[in-house]
Amino acid sequence: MTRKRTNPDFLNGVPELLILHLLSGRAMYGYELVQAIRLATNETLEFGEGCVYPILHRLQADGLLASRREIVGGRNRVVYRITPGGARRLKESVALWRRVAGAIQGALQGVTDAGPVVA
Amino acid sequence: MRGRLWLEAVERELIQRRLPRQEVARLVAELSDHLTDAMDSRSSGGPSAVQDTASIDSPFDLTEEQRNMQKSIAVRLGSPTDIAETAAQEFRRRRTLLSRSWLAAFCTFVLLPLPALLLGWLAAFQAARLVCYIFGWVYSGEGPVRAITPLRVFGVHVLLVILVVAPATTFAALFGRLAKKTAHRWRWGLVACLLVAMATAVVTTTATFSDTPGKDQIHFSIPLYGSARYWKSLFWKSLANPTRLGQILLPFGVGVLILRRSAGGAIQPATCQALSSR
Repeated sequence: MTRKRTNPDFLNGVPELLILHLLSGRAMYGYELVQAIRLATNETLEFGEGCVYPILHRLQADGLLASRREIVGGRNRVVYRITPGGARRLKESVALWRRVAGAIQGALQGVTDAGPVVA
Repeated sequence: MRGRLWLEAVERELIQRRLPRQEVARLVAELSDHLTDAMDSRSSGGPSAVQDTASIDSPFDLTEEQRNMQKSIAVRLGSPTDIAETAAQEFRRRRTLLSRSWLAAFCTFVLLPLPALLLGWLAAFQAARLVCYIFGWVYSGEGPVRAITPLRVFGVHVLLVILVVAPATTFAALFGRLAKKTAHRWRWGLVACLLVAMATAVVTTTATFSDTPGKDQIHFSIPLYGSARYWKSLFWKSLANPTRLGQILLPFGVGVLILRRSAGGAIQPATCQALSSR
């Protein structure tokens, strides 16, 4: 069995961002969402797939996602979709991510033109 | 049932972390669905199949197969421990009405502590009274009169301090715990603990012993009115009195201790231990 490394701390918050982004495109059930994350990230990030569900449940409890049982592919599944609140959160998170990524990119290149980032 | 052992292990881990039964059932059901999808994906030659899982239902060499199954599932879905840990963390991070609404937090952590504390004290004194009656410690007009000994006086004073401090400490702990559950509002918890401690500081209890049977008296008072100067003076006087200082420090200390234990979880950003990078 291959021992997997735990993610570095700077990846915290990434699953939430990816989930909101992918669900903003269309509603999906858990397994479908995991496959979408794999494809979207070209398998650069690999989830312990089971950890997606607690995050989905928390996002739903926070009012960022809504879920409903639906028959998909002949099976009864819990399908998640983004709420208006989730869309707003996604917009904020994407903006923050771009600023952080820009700042780090700049730092790595020795350029410090990015403004301060308040998380 | 495919992956039953793994699901049972996840369920055990979730229960150990004291997650609500409903949440455990929902998570296990969805993981079970996920597992079935993964199996189906393998059967249909999908690109991301679970390794060595198709033979889980085989009666031959079951132990070995089960072992392989556990390993392959743990690789793909994450170990039961990791999933349960993530679930517990995410559950703690959920935002409730208290963490979303400033008004709800204000009502809970600023307006509620004092009335709740008053009710707590009332309940404590009534309970103490009931216990005294049950054990016959209250003079009923019959039998010999008990002498006023220094030990008895000391015992009554200790009891009074306990009756004041115990409810206050309990409420400080409760508000601290509530703030812990609504992770983003831990500062409100600190305010609640401070209010409880300050209210406890200004409480006055006196015991008056009389030679006349049945005329002993206990007074419990809380100054509800007064100028800012009066309150200030009362508060500083309280700090100079060791017993009152204890009345402040114990509830506040317990509340802060609970908040301190929770602060790490409250301030840290999202975590997902099962996320790995290649």
